[in-house]
Amino acid sequence: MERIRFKDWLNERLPLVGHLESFLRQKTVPRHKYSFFYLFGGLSLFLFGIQLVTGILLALYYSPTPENANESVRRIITEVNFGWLIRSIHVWGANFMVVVVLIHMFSTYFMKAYRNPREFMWLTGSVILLLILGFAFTGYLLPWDTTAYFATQIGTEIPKSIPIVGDLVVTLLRGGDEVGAEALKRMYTIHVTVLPITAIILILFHVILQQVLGTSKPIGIEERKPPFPFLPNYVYRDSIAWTGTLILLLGFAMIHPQELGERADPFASAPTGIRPEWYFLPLYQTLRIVPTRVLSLSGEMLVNVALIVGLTAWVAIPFMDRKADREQQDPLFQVVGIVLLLYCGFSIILALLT
Amino acid sequence: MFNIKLAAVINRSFALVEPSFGVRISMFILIAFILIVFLVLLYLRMQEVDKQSGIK
Amino acid sequence: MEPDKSRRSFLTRILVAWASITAIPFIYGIAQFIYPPLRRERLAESILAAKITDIPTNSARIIKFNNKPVIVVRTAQDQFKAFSAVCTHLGCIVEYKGEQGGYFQCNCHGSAFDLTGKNIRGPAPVPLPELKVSLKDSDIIVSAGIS
Repeated sequence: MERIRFKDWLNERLPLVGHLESFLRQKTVPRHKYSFFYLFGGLSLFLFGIQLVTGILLALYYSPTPENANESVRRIITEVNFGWLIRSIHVWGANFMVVVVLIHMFSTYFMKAYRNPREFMWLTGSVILLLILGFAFTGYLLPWDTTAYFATQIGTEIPKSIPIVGDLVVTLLRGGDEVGAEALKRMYTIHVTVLPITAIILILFHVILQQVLGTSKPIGIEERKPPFPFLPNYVYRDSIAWTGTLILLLGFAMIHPQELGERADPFASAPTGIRPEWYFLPLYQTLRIVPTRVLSLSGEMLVNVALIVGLTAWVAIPFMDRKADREQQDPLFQVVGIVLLLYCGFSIILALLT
Repeated sequence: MFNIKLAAVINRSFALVEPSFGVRISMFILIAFILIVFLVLLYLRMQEVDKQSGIK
Repeated sequence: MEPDKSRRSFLTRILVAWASITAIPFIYGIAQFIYPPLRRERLAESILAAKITDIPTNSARIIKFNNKPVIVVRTAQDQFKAFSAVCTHLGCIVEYKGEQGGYFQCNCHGSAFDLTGKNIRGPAPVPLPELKVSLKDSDIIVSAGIS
């Protein structure tokens, strides 16, 4: 009797499997002193998968109304089997994800992986980054505890000073004038339907593009060793990175599980020392140091405008870095990147200390 | 159908809810061990595959 | 050049086997999570169902007792009785009918129960469980079961 290998059985019925396998075997990953950073794209995908799974599990028990939200999360962490763990993985996972995605973004920036023909990878990547920050922002309100409530109160107040569309944005986010049942419902719906669907589509596009265009090499870098075949050699490297990260994530989640604050009271005063999560601290710190009025213009408005201009410029980088298209180094962009990194780093440290 | 009494016994003995620090550490050590063994196997297999492809 | 596909590395076998073992705690954890947690509510032994003046003669009222519907009836002879309001056929809630001396009817499939709870008509297989009723001053107290 002939023993048919599972792969061949599958390939007879799903011909794409064979094509996919040979494609992945042909694809290579460049090997140089910065190759380590190539792991962070896949790592972002892995963490996204974890967030998706733990998020769905939590949604089985969560209730998105001001009366029940806090209680439902309390029930998850005190009554549901492994509820404390699934919730902690989800919260820590979110933090891990932001770190990994930022490393991924900055490493592709400094390696100029955005240059021709990969401009659309940078564009989709930028949008995905914004979606992830959106996930973090909308998810943060869901436990409806004191910190979450006031963080959202402030976070949805700031866009008011955006010229022209500010008030509209705030009303749409809150589902009204204040942060209440409508806001919670909206944040929840956005968090579990709008953002996941959009993110999955964009991530798919981003990953497929990556496979088809291949991995970019830094300009003028020397490869002293032959490149890794993606399948099987680099896949093992990815797997090791993913397993290591999982161990780390589980460690944080199990040894330092996330706590739940008291149910939010909209009529109580905001507690002392309240501030946003670390990834929003650069914005927070900037708002603190910019004076209230600058030449008769609102300081807050200026920060908002600067942020929007900055984000637009960041997204348009591939089209501004003309030298990169000609495979030439442009120190200007490296400097800009380092300055940005340092600014974010210092503002986070400053905000945490003061 | 899941036996209610069995569920109660499992809940109590494995502390699936509100586990103490000690229980959490033990759980972590167990899962970390399983994952580290997996990691080592991955690493060894990676070395083997690298040799086969001739890139080592 | 191309790896020999027919010779599966020993290491690969161990790797695949261990991967299955690795999956177990995760599947176990998720399965445990999905299965609803045991309710830890303590069951009440009795409750104040209503005031005597709340229920007119030959009528009934449905109250909640340990999260289950209970029908408290004041018969035409001013006797207080309480039964589970859940029809023993397929779980619909019964209603009290004051005609023909008083009985409980289930509108879903036409079952009927008399004032002892006995199933007298329709597809209901067994009687309605009866609960204890006691009167204290002007209070109607319902407590867990006779049957």
